Amino acid sequence: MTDTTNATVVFHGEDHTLGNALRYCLARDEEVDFAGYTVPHPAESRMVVRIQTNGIPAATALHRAADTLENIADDILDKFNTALNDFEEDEDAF
Amino acid sequence: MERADPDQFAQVSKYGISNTATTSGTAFSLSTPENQVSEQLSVKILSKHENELEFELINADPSIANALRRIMISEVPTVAIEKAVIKNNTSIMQDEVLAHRIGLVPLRLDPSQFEYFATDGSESGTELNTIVFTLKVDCKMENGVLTPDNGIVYSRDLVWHRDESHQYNDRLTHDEAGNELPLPGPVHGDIPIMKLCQGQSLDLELHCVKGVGRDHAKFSPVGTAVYRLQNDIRLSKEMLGEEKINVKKLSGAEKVQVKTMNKLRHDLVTRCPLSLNPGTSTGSDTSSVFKLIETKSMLDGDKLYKVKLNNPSSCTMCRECIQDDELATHVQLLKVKGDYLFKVESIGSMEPEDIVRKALAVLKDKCAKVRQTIEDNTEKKGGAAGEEVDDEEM
Repeated sequence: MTDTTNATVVFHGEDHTLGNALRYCLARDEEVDFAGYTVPHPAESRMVVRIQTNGIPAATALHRAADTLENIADDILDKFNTALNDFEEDEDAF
Repeated sequence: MERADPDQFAQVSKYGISNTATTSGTAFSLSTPENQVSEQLSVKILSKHENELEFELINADPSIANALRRIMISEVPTVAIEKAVIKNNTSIMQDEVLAHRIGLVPLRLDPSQFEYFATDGSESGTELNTIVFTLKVDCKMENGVLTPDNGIVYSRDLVWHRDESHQYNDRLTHDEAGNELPLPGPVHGDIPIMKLCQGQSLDLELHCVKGVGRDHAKFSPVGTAVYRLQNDIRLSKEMLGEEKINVKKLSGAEKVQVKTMNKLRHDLVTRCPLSLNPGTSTGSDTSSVFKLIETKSMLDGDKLYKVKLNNPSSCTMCRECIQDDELATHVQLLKVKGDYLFKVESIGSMEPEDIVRKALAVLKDKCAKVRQTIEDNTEKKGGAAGEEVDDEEM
């Protein structure tokens, strides 16, 4: 029986951009006990995420974190577009 | 002065900055439910010019702000010259130097109209992944003048090599609504590439492909994409000097105190390199951090002043105002955690707001890819989500 509550996931072709953002989304999850990431070598295009949950499968936690991150990106995009529209309307008013 | 909440503000002091960690108690606290984080997050546009956009991202985690910045710099695709076929180069510039210079010229091309060129050599150029420019200049002496352009080769000499046998030329010359677009070419026509002398000539064929800044800086759509934390500057009540004082009723000791504060106010404003100093013309009115305001009161023939916080966000945190220990007790320099001032400077091939939008789209793509890989892996192993996934190949 393998323990599914922890996982070390290797992402090829990714770096701090996704690593730190995913780490943050994982750490925000109440069912995640530990989340950390590392880029083992700066010249290698490889990033490693370590997850330990308090019960749920680690894969589910990672899936959920990816969802959270996408929602945040969506949210920023929405708010950015609205803000830009408002700004341009204000500019036109002058 | 009252200490600022260490969860919300980083404190800038004489030697360094403290309370920088973002772990708990902040608006983007790890314990805040996701839907609340979303409510708190906001975006404000500060200024927008042709190639420059400034906006404020409020209540986001540093990892999100940094991901956005990093993607804008190195993962938003653009089209740039990748291969230079040098048919003739009799100039004094070596082929490789010339090829490198030409590669850096920003091009006005919509990357969404292009496919990536396979890097493994499995694919040759097609009209969907490559666009060709030519550069052909012969320098002659005419009436004692070097032609063309005094012998200077400019980026405007790059000419799109339009192949009529191509099926999709329209995508480069017309937009979706069918309106005619300017012909593909460099963003700026007046970039000098090199100088030729009489009788020297250039004949190049240049192949442009789509790429990202991670592979080569020439693909980066931005000159700079940076953020900094919003400032918050606080002054003590005594420093602001807003309390009305009745000069006539002051005792001797109080008078001394009022005079000292008045001097400190002068000191603060004159020390600040970004203040509009009284009696001098240095510093502009809007960028001035502090302003001295004259009051009607006089004390022993000296005018009394108060201080106004005019524009704290223009403060560069030079800390000049807190070098003096006495002044430092009246001034607090703070950074607002989670409040980022972004500045995106486009190289000209894309609108700065499009760069932001595309960067967010890239981030969403990454998430989708992660989810897809997890789903594929769990399916392969024949179990519901939760089976062991050891190594995710991406």
